[in-house]
Amino acid sequence: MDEKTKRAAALEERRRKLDELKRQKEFGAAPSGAAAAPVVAAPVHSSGAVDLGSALALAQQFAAADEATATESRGASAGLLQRGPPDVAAGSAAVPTSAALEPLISDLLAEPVIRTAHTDELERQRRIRALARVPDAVSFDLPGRDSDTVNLQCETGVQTEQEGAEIEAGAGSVAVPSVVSPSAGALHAPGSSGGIMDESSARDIFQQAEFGSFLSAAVDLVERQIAGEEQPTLKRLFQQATGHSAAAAGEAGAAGISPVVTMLDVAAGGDAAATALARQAAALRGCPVTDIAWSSYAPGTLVAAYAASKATPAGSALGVGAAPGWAAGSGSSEAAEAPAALLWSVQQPGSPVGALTLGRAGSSAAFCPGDLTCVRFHPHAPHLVVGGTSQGQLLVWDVRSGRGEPVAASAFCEAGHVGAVTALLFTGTAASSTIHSFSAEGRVCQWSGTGLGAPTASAQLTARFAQDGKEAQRDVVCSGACFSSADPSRIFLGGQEGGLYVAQFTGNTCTTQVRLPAHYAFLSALAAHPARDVPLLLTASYDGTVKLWNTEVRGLRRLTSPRQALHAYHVGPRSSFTVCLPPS
Amino acid sequence: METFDGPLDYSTDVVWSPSHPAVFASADLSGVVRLYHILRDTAHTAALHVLSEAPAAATTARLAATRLRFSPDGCFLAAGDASGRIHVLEPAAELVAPASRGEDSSHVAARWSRPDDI
Repeated sequence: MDEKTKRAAALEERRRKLDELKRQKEFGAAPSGAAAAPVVAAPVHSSGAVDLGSALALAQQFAAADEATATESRGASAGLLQRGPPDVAAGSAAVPTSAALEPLISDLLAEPVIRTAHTDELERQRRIRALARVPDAVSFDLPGRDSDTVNLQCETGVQTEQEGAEIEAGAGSVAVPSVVSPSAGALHAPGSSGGIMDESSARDIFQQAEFGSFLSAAVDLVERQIAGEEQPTLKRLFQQATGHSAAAAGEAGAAGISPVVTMLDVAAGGDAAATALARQAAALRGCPVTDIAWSSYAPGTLVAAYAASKATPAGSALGVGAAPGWAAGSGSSEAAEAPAALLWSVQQPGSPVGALTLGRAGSSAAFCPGDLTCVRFHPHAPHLVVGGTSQGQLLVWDVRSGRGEPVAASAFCEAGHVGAVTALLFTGTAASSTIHSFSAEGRVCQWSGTGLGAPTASAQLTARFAQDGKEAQRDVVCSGACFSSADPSRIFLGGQEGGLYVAQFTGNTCTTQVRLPAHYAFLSALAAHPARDVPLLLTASYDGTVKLWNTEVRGLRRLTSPRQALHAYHVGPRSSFTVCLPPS
Repeated sequence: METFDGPLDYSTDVVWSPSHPAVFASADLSGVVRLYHILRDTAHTAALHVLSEAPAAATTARLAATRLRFSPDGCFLAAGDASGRIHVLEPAAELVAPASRGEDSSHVAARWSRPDDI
C-alpha cells in the first residue's frame, strides 16, 4: 500500500510538472529553474569549427546536471519516460498509467516551448533577414534538478553588405523537454565517476549517433525559430565538430556517383579518325546543352539539344546562354547548317550516332532558324524525336531516315507559339496521341498526332497576381511544366518570376488555379514524383534552392489557403531538409 | 567540406530517379551534380559529382551544368553542361534501386508502385 501511494504521488507530481510546462508554453514564460541554471557558451571560430575543448566542458556539465537523475534512470528502457520518477520509469510495463502519460509528452514533443527574444514581429523579421549564416555563440541552459527542460540558445550576427561594419544580432531559445534526449542515459557511461566525465568518455559520447541526432535536431529547431526559412548552418557546424555523419557523407559523396563517359570531350575528340558526324559534332563544342532525352527504346541512346550560340567563357561561368528561352537565336545561314541536336550512344562516346538539323531555308518544312530549347523522344513512337525551338516552332525528326532534317514542322499561325518552347508533354496512346507544348509567353498548344501543322487547341495561361493590394490578371511567363502523377488532368507550371502554378486541364482549356510564390528567381525545373501515389513535387530555381512540395490532392481541393496544402522543404547547399509525407 | 558551403549557385535542373523512389538529382551552374536520398540524413547529399574538364585534376575549371536526365532504367544520369559536353554518370547501386531489405524498403515499399510498367 505504501508503494501504491508513493507511486500515485509521483504520478501526480509528474502531471503537475507537465501541466506547468504546458502553461509555460502557452504564456511563453521561462521554465522554472532555467534562470538559475548554468550557461555554457561554445565559441565558434571564424573557421566554422566548434572548439572541441568547449564541447567537452559542455558534455561534462551535462553530466553534472544529470547526476541526480542518472541513478534513477539507470536500467530504464530507452523510452520517453526515462527521466521520470523512478517508480514510473522502472515499472513501465507494470504501471498502466505510464502509458496514459505518453500523449502529454508527445504533445510537448510536437510543440516545444519556444520563445523568441524579439516580440516585435517586424523587428524580428528585419533581424532575421540580416542574420548571419555563421553563428557567433551557442549556449545551453542546463536543466536544474527539478527542471525538465534543456534550453538551447544561439546568437548570430552578420556584417551587412551595405553598412559594412554594422553587426546585426538575433537570439532565440527553445526549451526542449529533456525527456526527448536519448543521451540522458548515455551521458552516464560506465567509468564516469561522480557525474564528471573524463575526456575520453566525453569524446565517446560526442561520437554517439544518438547524441549527434539529438543535438542536430535541437539545433535545427532553434535555427528554424530564429531564421525562419533561412538556411541553417549550425547543424552542419556541430556535425563538423563532432565528426558525426559529416565524414560519412563525404565518403558517400565520393563513392555515390562516378563518371562513366563524357561526350564531346576535348580530350576524347581524336581528329584522325573523325567521321563526318564527328566533325559536325565538333562544331557544337562550346554550345550549351539545352536539353537531354534518353530513348526508352534503344538502351543507352540519348538525344541532346544544343544552343547554336556559343557561350563565351565568361558567359558559361554565369550560365548565360544556358537557360532555355534566353539564348539569342542567331539567324545566320551557317547556324542552320550546324546540327541543332545530336544522338549519342553510351557505347560510342567518341562520335555521335546521328545529327538533327533545324532544316534548310527553302526546304518543304516551314523553316525558321533558332535554338532548339526542348527535345523529347515521342513516348508512343520511339523513332520520333520532338523538339521545340526558341522561336516557338515544333519540329519532328525520324531517326530512322538517317537524314538530319525534320519530317514535320509546325506552321507559324496565330494560335501557335511566339516565345521559346519550354516544355513538351505527351498524352494519349500509340493510336491517338497528343503533344502539349508550353512556351515562354504562357501559351499552351495541343497538337494531334505527329503531323504538326497547326495546333488543334491553343490557350493563353493567365493567373491572378496580387498587385498593390489589388488582384490583377496577368499572363503566366512559363518556364516549365509537368503533369501530376496522381491526377493527369492537373499540371504544374513554373514561372520565370519564380511562381509555381497548379493548373487544371478541362477539355481543351488549361485553367490556372493556384499560384504560389515558390521561389524568388527563375524557376528552372519541375519534377513530379514518378509514382502515382506519392504526392511530391520538386522545383529548382536560380535562387539556389531546390524545394520539395507536398501536392496532396485532398489538401489542394479542400483547404482554402494553398499555403496550407503545399508545404515546402528546402534542400540544397547549406540548407537542411525535412520530408514530411502527407500530414494526416 | 568545400562542397557543402560553396557559393549559392543557380539550380538549373532537378529530376527524380525513375527506379528509386527516394532518390532525386539536382544540378547547378557551378557544375555540381548532387544526388539526394530523402529518407536518409537529408542535410547532406547522398552523392556528389563536380563536372570539370578533366576529372583527375582538381584545379580545372568547373563546367556549368544545364540539364540532368536519368536513363529510363535509372542506371545512368546524363548531365549536359554549358560547354556542350554530356557527362554520363553512374550512381552507386544503393542509389539506383531500393534494397530489398532494410531502411529503404521499409519506408517506401508500401507506397511505391508503378502501374505503368506492367
